[in-house]
Amino acid sequence: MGRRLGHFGETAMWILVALRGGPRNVTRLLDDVRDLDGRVGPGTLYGAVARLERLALIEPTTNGGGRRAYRLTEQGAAAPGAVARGGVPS
Amino acid sequence: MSRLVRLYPRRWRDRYEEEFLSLLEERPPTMSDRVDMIRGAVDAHLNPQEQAEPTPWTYRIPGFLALIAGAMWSAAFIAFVFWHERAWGLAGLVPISMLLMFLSLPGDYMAAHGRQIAIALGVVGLCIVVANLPYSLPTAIAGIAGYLIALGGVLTLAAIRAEIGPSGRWTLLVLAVLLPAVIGFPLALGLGDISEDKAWLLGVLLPYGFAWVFVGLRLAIRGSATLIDPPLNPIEPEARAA
Repeated sequence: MGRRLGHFGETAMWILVALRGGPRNVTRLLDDVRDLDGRVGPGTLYGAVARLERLALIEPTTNGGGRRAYRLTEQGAAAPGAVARGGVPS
Repeated sequence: MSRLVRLYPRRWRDRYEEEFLSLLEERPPTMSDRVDMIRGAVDAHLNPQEQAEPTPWTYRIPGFLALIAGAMWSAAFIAFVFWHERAWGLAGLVPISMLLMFLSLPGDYMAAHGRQIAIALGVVGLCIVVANLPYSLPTAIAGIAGYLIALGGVLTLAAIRAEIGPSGRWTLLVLAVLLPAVIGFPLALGLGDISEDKAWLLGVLLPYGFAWVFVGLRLAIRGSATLIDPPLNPIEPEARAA
């Protein structure tokens, strides 16, 4: 799977890093990514989330409040390094 | 705020809208966030979320055909109005653009709507026959009505293919065909010898070309299978989760 993440690559990498701490809803995910990467907008966040989900690196789950959250897949857990190099693991 | 979210494609909103609105409620967007959302909406249109791979370039062909058809149609009528004496050569662009309009329809679409396309072609043929009958009011009315039905029908089929919703399709039809016709034809009849004044052509036929440019752009962005392409194979959420 050689599809690249384009200009969402950096944000995608920080999302994967943030999700190593466990499932996050998008609000917390945005806060975490902003802590790691400075100013990230909601449009960029969702562009990256949609791509990571499409690539099966993250998947939706529900948190304690029944709200949708995201967590790493097995493949996604090994991915940040590859994403940082501009690709995704096969 | 929901107005900005409506810029995103329908399928994207089906998937993310609820949580996206919750996020915006909890973290009210700044001006730069709003700009970022507009960029995100453009990206979501260009890269449909349900597709596993980028849209093959061949899927852009129907959209580009429609786009070129609309541009040629518009250019022909603009030239005809402003450079009347020298623009007769450009009149040939009109049938070519109509041919491109039809060519933009086949593909995966042909199997599902082949009959409608055949009916639209039949109506166009009938219009040509009626237009060549000796002039009388009934034949003129029948010719004009058939012509409008054919123009509107082909545009509607293209709009369906571009996944424009029913209300959007009606808006397009009214703006591109019905409204200009309602305004233009009585005006033309009132003028008597319309060959002396082609200004009404701009009002009646130019919107139709612009509508095709709009549909073509949308079709090119979304992509649509041609006759030689296999259908797009979206990843089902269940399959992805498994």
